[in-house]
Amino acid sequence: MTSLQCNIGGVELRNPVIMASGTYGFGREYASYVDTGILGGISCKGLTLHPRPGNPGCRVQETASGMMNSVGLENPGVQGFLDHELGYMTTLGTAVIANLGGSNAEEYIEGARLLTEHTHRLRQQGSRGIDMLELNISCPNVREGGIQFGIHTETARSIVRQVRSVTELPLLVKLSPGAQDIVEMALMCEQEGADAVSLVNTFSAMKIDIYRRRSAFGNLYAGLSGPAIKPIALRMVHQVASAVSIPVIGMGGISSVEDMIEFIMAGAEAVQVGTYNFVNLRAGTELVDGLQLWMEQQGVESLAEIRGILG
Amino acid sequence: MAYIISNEQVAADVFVMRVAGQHAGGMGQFYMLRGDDGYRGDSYPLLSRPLSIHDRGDDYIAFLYRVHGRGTAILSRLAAGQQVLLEGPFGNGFPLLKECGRVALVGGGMGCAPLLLTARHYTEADIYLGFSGEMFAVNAFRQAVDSAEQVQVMNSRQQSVLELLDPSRYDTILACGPAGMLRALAECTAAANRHSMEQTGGSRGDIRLYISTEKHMACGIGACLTCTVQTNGGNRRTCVEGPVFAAEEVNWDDLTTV
Repeated sequence: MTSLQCNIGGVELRNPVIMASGTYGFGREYASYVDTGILGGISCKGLTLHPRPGNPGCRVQETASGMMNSVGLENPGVQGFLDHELGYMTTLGTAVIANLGGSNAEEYIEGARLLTEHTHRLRQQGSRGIDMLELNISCPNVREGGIQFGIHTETARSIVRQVRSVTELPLLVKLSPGAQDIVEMALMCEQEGADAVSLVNTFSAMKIDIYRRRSAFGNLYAGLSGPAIKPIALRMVHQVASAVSIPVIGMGGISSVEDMIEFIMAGAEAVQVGTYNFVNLRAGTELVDGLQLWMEQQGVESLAEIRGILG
Repeated sequence: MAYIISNEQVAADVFVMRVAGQHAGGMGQFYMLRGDDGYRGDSYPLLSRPLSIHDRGDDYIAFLYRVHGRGTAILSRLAAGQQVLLEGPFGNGFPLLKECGRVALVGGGMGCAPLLLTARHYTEADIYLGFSGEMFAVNAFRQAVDSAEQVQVMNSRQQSVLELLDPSRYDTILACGPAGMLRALAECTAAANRHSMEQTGGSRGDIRLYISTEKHMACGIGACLTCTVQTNGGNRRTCVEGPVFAAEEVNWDDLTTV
C-alpha cells in the first residue's frame, strides 16, 4: 500500500498535490470538475487586508510554453474572505491555505492577526478554520503587493518576524525567483520560525505590443508562469531544499506526474500546481491519481524513498 | 474530445469549424477549445481559446472564428476527422425574453459569431451585419430568420453598420462586435431612450440593449480573474457573469481599453 502523505508544519496532508494561489480561486469554480476531497490542499486566491479591484487593462497573454498574468491581486479582502469564502472552503475536504499579501508591514500583521483569531474562534466552536498561512512576499503585479519585500533578505526578515509573532498557525513563506539570493532568503525564513517555504512565484517578465509601441500590460511588467519556468524553478527548489531543514513546497510549471516527481526528487516535501489548472480543469484529480499509479508502477511505497534523492 | 466534421475557410482569415456530437449551450454562451495534435499540455498553446457558439444542431456544434494569433492559427489548421478538446458551455448568454417587442441583432465583423444561434431564437428580428472587407455568414442569417429581407448588410471601410440602424424602432437590441462599435451603439441607444423619455414624460427609455464582450481569458470558469470587466456593480468576470451584459451596466472606458 503506497502512502502519499506528507507533513507541513505539523499538518498532515493526504498527498503532496496542492493547488497554487491565484489559479484556484476559493475552490468553488473547480468543484464541478474535480473531487476536491482528494487534493492535498488548496492555497486560496491571494488576499490583502483590504479588498483590491486588481489591475486595469489586459491581464493575460500566452507565451512560448507559458503565460503571463497581471491580475494584480483582485480579491475580497481578508474580512470578505472570512465572511464569504472560508466557510465554503472548509467543506471541500482538503487543507485550506490562506495566501496573504500586503503593501506594508502593518497590513501583513493585521491580516495575519485577523485570519489567526478567526481560526481560533472557529476551532473553539468545534469548526474548522484555515490550516496554514502562506505569506506572499512575491507577487510581481502590484507595486506594493509583496515583491518589494521579496527581493532583499533583510526587508523580508522584518515581515516574517512580525507575522510569526502574531500567529501560531503553520506559516509558509512564498518566495520570489527574483530574490537577490533565494537560498539566503529561505534560510532567513527558517531562522525566523517559518514552518516551510514555497517557491517559486512567477518571474517578473515583459511583453511589448509592437504595433501599439507599448507594453502589452498596463502595469508594464507581468508574471511569467507555466512549463517555460520549470527548469529554473526546479534548480531553485534544489538549492533551497539542500540548504534548509524546514519543508520546501516546490512549484513552477508543473504539468505532469513526472514534473512532480522531479520536484520531490529535488527535495520538495510537497508541490503546488498553478498554470496547469487552466490547461486542464481536472488537473488536480489527474495528478493525484497519476502520482499514486506512478508509485505503484515504480515500486515506491513512500515519497520519503525518493525525496531529495539527489542530495 | 470530439471529432471535427469540417473546418471551412469562409473569408481570408475566417473559418467555421463544425464539431460532431450533441453539445449543450444557449445563444451567446461559449466553449473553450484547443486542438489535440499529440498534445501533452506543456507547449503552445497552453490555454484553450474561448469561442462563442455560432450554431448548434442535434448532432453538431459550430464555431465561427478569425485567425488572430498563433492559437487560432493552430485551430484553423485542424482538418475534418481530427479531434478537438472542448469544455463548456460557459457564461451568461443573450436573454430569451418573452416580451421582447421588436428585436434587432447587430453584429460587427466577428461579432456575427454568437448572433446566428440568437437569430434562430428571434426569427422575427431584424439583422444588421457590418463588415469592412470580405463578408461571411450572411446567407446563414438569411436562412435562419423568417424572411431574407430582415437581413441588412453594410460592407464598407468608411461607414458603420450603425448607419443602417435606428434604435428607436426597437424594444430590444442584442449586439456583438468591436468595443468601439458597441460603445457607439450604446450611446445612440441611450440618446434614443432620453428622447423618448422627453416625449412621453416617462422615467426611463424602453429600448433594452444587451452586448456581448470579449476578453482574453485563461481558465474560462471564473477562477483566474484575467477576464474582469468593470461594471456599475463592481468587477464582473466575462466568463461567468458575462460575456453578455446590459449595456448600461458596463464601464465603457474600461471595455474600450486594449
